[in-house]
Amino acid sequence: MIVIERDTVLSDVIAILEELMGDWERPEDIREDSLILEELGLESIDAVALGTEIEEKYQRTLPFAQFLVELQAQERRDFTVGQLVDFVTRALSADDAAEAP
Amino acid sequence: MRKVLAQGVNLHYQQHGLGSDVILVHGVFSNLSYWLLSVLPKLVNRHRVTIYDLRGHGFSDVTPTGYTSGEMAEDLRGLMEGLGIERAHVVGHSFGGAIALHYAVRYPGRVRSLVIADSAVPALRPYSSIANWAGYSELQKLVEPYGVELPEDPDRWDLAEVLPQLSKLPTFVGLRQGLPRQDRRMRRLVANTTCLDDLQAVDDMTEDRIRAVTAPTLALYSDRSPFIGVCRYLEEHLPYCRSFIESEGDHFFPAIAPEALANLMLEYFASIESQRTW
Repeated sequence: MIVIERDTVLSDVIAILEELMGDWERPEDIREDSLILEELGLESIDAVALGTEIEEKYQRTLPFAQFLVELQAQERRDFTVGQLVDFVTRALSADDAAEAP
Repeated sequence: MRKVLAQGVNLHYQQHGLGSDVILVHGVFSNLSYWLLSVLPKLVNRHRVTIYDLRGHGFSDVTPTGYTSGEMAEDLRGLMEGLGIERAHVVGHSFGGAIALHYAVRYPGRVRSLVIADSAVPALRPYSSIANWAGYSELQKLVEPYGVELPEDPDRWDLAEVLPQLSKLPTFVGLRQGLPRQDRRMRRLVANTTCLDDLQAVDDMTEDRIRAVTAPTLALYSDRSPFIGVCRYLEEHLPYCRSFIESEGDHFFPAIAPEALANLMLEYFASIESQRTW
C-alpha cells in the first residue's frame, strides 16, 4: 500500500505551481496559505492545468469537480494551496485504501 | 499537459469522451477552459470531444504572427492530423467560428458539420449591422459602474483602445467569477503579437467562398449579438444552413447557458449523423 505523505504532496503541488506560473510576475512566494485565485492570480485555464498536472504526477484521476462543488456549497470562491493539498492527499489515500487487498 | 505540434506551433489540448469526433474552438482572449467548464461534460457520453488552446492563448505557444482565421484554420488542420481525426463536427464560438468556417472553406471533406456560435467573419463585416446592435446600450450600462467608457458608435470601436479598459471589469464567467480580471494573457497577446490586426484579414475566405460552403451549418446567435446580421447572411446564402437564435445570455451564451447549448448541439449532431433532414 502506498502511503502519500501530505508534505510530499505539498512540495509536489508547489513545484507544479512554480512551473505553471513560469515567468509570470508574482507578488509573493507560493505558501501553504496562498490563495490560488486572489493571491497567486490563477485563471480558470491555470487551475485546469494545475489539476491535470497533479493527476499526471500521481497517475490518478482526481475528483476536482467535487472539490469545486464543495467550495461552492461552503460559499467560498477561492481556496489555498493548503486546502488543495488536503484534498489531493485525502483523495490519493482514499484511492490507495480502495485498492488495498 | 498534452500538446500537439501543428505548423511548428505547440498546441495545448484535451480530449474527453467516446463517440464521433467533435472539436470545440474558442474565441480570442479565451482558452479551452471556456468549453471544459461549460458544455463539454454534457457531450462526452455521445462524442469524443477535443478542445484546444489557439496559438497565443492558454498554454499553447505564443507566436508573434499567424492569428488570421486562415492561419489558425491551418493550425486546426495540423491538430486534427496530429490526433488522427479525419473528419469532425467543428464548433466555433466568436472568432473560433470564423476559424471553423475558414477550415470548412479550405477542407470541406474534413468537416462533418459546422456550428458557428455568435461569430463575426472578416469578409462579412458589412453585413454585421453593428450599428443596429440591440444589446449595445445594455452593455454600456453593464460596464459603466466600473469606469469603462464605450464609444457611442460601436462600429467605430478600436479594439486596441477598448480592450485595455476591459481590465477594469470583474470576471463574468469561470472560476474567477466576481473576482478581479486576470488579464496577463490578453495584455501579452495585444502587446507582443499581430493578433488584433489579423482578426480583420479576409485572405481566401471571401464572400464567394463562404457561399460555397456545403457543410451542414448551424448558425447560433444571441438575440443581443452585435453580429446578428452575419447569422442572417449565413442562413440566406449557405446552401445547408439554418439558424437558432438564443434568447438566454449574450455573446457569451455558451458559458452562461451551457445546458441549452449542449442539448441543441447533441440533437443537431445526431440529426446530421442519421442524415435526417431538419
